Amino acid sequence: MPHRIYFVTETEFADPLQHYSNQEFVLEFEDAAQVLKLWRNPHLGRSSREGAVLSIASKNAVAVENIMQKIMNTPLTATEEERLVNEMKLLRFIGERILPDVLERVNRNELQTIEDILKYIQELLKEIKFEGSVDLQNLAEKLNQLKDIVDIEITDAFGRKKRISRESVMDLLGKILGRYLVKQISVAPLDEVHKRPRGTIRLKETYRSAILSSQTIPPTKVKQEDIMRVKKDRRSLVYLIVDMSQSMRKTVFEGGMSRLDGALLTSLSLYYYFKTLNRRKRKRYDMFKLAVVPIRKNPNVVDTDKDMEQLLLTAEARGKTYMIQSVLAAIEHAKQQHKDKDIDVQFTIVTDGMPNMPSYPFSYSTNKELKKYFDDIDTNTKSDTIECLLQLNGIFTSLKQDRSRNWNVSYFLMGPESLRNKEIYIHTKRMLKGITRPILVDPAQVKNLGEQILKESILYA
Amino acid sequence: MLKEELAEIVVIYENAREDFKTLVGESPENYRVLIFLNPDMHVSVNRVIEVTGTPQAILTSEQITNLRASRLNDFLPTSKETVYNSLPTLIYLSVPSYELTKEQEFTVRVMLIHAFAHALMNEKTESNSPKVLAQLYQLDVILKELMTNNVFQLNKVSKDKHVWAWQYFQDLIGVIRLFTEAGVEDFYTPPETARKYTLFNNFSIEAINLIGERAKTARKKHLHDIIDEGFAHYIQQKAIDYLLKTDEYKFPKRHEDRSLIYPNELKAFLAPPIGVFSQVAMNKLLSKYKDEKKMFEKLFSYKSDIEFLEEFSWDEIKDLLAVNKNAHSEYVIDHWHSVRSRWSDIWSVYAYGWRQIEEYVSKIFRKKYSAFGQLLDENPSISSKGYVRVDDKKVYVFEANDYGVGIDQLVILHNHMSLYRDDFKTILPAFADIIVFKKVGGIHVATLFAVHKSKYKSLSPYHLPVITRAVQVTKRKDAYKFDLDEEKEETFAIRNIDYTHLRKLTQPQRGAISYLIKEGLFEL
Repeated sequence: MPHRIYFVTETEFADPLQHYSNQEFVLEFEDAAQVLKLWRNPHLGRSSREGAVLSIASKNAVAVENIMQKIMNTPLTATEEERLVNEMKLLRFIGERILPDVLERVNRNELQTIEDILKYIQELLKEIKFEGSVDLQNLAEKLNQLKDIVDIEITDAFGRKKRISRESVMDLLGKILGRYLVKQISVAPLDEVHKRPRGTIRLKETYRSAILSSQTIPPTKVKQEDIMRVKKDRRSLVYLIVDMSQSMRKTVFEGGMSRLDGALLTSLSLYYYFKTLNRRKRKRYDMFKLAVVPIRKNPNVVDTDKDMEQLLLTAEARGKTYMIQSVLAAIEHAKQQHKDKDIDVQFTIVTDGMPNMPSYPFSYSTNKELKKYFDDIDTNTKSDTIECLLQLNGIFTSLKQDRSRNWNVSYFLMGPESLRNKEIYIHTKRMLKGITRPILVDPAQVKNLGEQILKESILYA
Repeated sequence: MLKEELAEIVVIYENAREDFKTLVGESPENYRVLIFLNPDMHVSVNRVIEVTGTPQAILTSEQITNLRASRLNDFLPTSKETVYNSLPTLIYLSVPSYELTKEQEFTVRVMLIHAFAHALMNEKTESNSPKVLAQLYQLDVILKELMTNNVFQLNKVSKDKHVWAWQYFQDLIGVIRLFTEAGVEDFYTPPETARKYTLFNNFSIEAINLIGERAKTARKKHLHDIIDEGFAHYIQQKAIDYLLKTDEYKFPKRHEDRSLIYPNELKAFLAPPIGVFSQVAMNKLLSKYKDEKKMFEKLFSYKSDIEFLEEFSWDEIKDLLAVNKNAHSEYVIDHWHSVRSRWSDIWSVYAYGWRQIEEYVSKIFRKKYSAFGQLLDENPSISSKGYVRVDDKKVYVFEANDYGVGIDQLVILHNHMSLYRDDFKTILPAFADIIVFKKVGGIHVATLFAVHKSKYKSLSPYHLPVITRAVQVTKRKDAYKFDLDEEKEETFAIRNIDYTHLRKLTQPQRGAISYLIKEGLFEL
């Protein structure tokens, strides 16, 4: 037989252990809501914890099988051999003694948090101290893989599974949702503006200027002086004022998430949207700053990662709509920031009802015309609510007149299209007369809320 | 450039062929040698053969993940040549280091001779084993191509990118292969008429047919491992003796017993129990027939291991196993392992190897098994245990053994079944909800997979509201007596559960099933 030598490349003979799937993780808004739910409530997700135990077990079983083969088939140095034997003993010990016990505890709902796991590991180490044959130090390290159990399992749109630790949930969700928004809407339309390290070029203006200077269409060339550089960007403070009253508990039509979940995730995505955006720019200061103000009894302004995490974990839909109080808190916060005049303040209010807790004492003047309107009509609306609307109108009007800052208000009302004929919409519209107009948001479309807020209020206000 | 670098190996290769001709009198002609420059690739191929039986078979994503994890931890065996005993024989080698020392040269030479022995056996034998393996190889290549093309096409024709498709098809083939091999009859094949509706249907019909053919072929394969290994190890031993006699290679001797210290890389050929046992069995055969030529003729004429083993009485074989296991236990630790390791730690590994051989030999000797299918039937990778009827739906129960399905595959299986419903738009009915018993490491678990109806259209088959619950199967009395929520018990009372269609289950298994049904089916 003639002997021939061929060369085969790796494209022709691919590694059988290669993962083929695309590595980018795509999380849908509904999935994010699910993750949020699991994160907020460690009681849920038992099955994912059970799955985690099994996957640790099966990974270990494969490892043990291979180590045995390796000990028999591969020449080893003394240290290598020692390592393998130790690993094998530990893995076997974990597989045969520890994991069955862990599974049972997970079944019983006894291992739910990282503290539970740590406590369990410590107890275990105390118990098996006298068994001798296992290396305790190594075992303790190995047992740390049990922490995976309390991680949250997320599945992306393409079915790829990933486990994330509880601490990194917010960051991961925020980054995914924020980046998604960035992809949908860039701060300025791309066809007009080029961001460069040395400044921003507005293409349209440049083009127009070139036409004017060369007097031909299209312009023969673009001169240096045609290129328009944008003046310094203005600072913007954005306050997302989010309703957390009882009514937000309602389930959104799609996917079993509540209005609150939708609102929280929208807040998170906007928060990260500006975070990523700010990071991309080479600026001395952040162009946009977003703070979330929950509408609840004692509203606080949430503008740090830690507060945000706290808000996501603890927010509940309960009680009345303390909108006036939240708006006042936001105003106070805004007034403390940056004393210079050249600043925009954007209030974006997301609510599914009308405010119903007036604030006293109230120092702004109320609009007589609006008061007359409410006095004249025959309505079921409670007097508290009317008082609130009057107060809110007073606050907004005085903001509009305030020249110390450039105040903007946008108002999103969550509800179906049929709301347009209802008192809630008519009153709100009347209240906002001369300030802005309410924008109706379909709760079923809550996943697009972030996009809508960006488009209709913050960027093109 | 590569040709020059590999020149040294080509010289060794030619020497090895010469050696083989002198030792055996003839040389094999029908084989291929694949030398990997990247040793990781060789390890991968080796593992794939170990796990699935052929080098081109599709692994499930879980198997890949677990093997990759093992590779990261450096747990995978290396440095063994891999021989796939088909016709032509496929020989996989990692390329040795750039400049070969005398020791390495010797190793490669012995490795090649060992491989040639396999190749010669595959050419000469009257068993169907090499031909069947060749067919399996071909089928696996076709399946792989089929899968690749379909994933490509599916992504091309559809608007949304089906990134999940690769993994899904991989797992699908893995699971159907397992079920078909084990002959689980509840399996469903879509009708021929479904072919024209979607690419997916067409693919599954093709794949299922091919896998069916593969299973049928695999079952017919003669059991031939002991003869293969025995012949190769016999020739290999002859080669070692022959090469050492020529004075070309000199190895130091051990202080204590004046035995030779062989090159480290030969460990894979000299240490494992299968080589030791099959070689002594060959020697015993030689002492029976006295003449080597005649023994070779005999070896080539055996169709399967049982014919070879039947040359001896059961007592003789038992002796052969016991005596050599004993001798091996004293020898192998001293010769191939560090003095720092404890005897019991290392020997437990070899003892495991011996136990596997003992089980195999005694099983085929007692039951006179000659084909792979008979062995499969004895201990199927997966078997059906009937079903539980919960109201109007069936929950099927399976038991998978150690080397059977993985968890991920179960999910696929499960998702596959959920395609039956209107949630996902590929008509490929398979199973209803399932419960699977499986030993994972040291835990014997029962796992339930059930699907709820989803309100919106699924993006992928992985993307369904699945309940997955797992519970340990134990004999303990208080097991399964966990507190059920009052609310759940209420719902439970309404359900009508019928356990009468289950068969061959132990009491703990029944306990686990009822726990899973109570707990799992009502979680969402």
